[in-house]
Amino acid sequence: MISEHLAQISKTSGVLGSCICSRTGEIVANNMPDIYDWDTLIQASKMVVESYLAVETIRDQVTELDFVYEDYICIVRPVNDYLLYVICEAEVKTPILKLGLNVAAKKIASLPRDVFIESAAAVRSQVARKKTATSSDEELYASTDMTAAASDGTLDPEAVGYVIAAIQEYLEQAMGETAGRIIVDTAIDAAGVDRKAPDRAKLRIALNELLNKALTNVMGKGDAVRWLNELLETYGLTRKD
Amino acid sequence: MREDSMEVELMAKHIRALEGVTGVSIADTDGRCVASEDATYADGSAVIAPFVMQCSRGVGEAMGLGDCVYVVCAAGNERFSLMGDEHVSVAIEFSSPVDLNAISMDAVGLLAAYR
Repeated sequence: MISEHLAQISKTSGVLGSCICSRTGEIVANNMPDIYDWDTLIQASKMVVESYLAVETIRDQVTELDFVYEDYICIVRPVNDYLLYVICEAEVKTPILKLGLNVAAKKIASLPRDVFIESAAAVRSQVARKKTATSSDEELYASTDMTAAASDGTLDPEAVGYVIAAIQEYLEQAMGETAGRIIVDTAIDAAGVDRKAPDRAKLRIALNELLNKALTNVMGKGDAVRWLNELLETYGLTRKD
Repeated sequence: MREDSMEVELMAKHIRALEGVTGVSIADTDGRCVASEDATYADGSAVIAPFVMQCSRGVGEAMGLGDCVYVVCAAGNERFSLMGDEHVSVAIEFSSPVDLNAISMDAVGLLAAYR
């Protein structure tokens, strides 16, 4: 029931996703894109809660926080004893979005307390299942050619650029332009890949991250491994090179 | 930005002079309020700014949203924004209604100019 309201918020143009968490940071309902795994959402939720509670120490009745980034905004609203946060593009039509948020927040606030408790329990169950599945995935990919591609030295930046662009293009088509770009940039940046002088080991970390999550989510495990390995071979990025 | 008290006070005056701003408070890295211009909550707002900015930057980093420029807070009829760098944190109170995003960006620009 809560998820339906979040889905409605996420339909607003420019909105990437939304999430509700308790004041301890526990996720109650989530409608964020698949690019965000549970660990990321749990981490983000805790920091959203901490900042909200910090503001509450100096002001009563905090009705909204807007974290303004260069290209995005994270809007945080209290809903009963919970916090609703929404990620949207900076150029989103804020009055329309906030009007929609007001309506959704009122509907969510009117839900019985049991709904929140049951929803939180369902999320806990999903997180536990996902963590078990992730462990299995890591074992699977540890035996693939991707891992075998690791070795020292830098790679041809042009070839790496083509591979990254191909992955991004695929994900943009499957998940939307913004989501595709964010997930690729995040994986590349997190692994510390220098696009002008890409290190093989760092690239492997980034590609494994993309493989294990986004690519597997959109095309399935087996197809994702095959597709990525063929892509790497096309641009000469295999172990023998 | 140099941790020069006169410079901090000057910055507070500059931000206070922005149209729509009703109060400014600035805290140092130790969380002490070092300058205030008509701020209603001088000892509180700027002091929490580093922590709030750290959290918002953490959210941005975790979710791939980039660096947080500032945070706007609404409490009842009051609105204020928080921003800062590794040296100072700034809290700005606004009259209502104003385009607080535009003012916050101006203040961020002023803060950068003092670095």
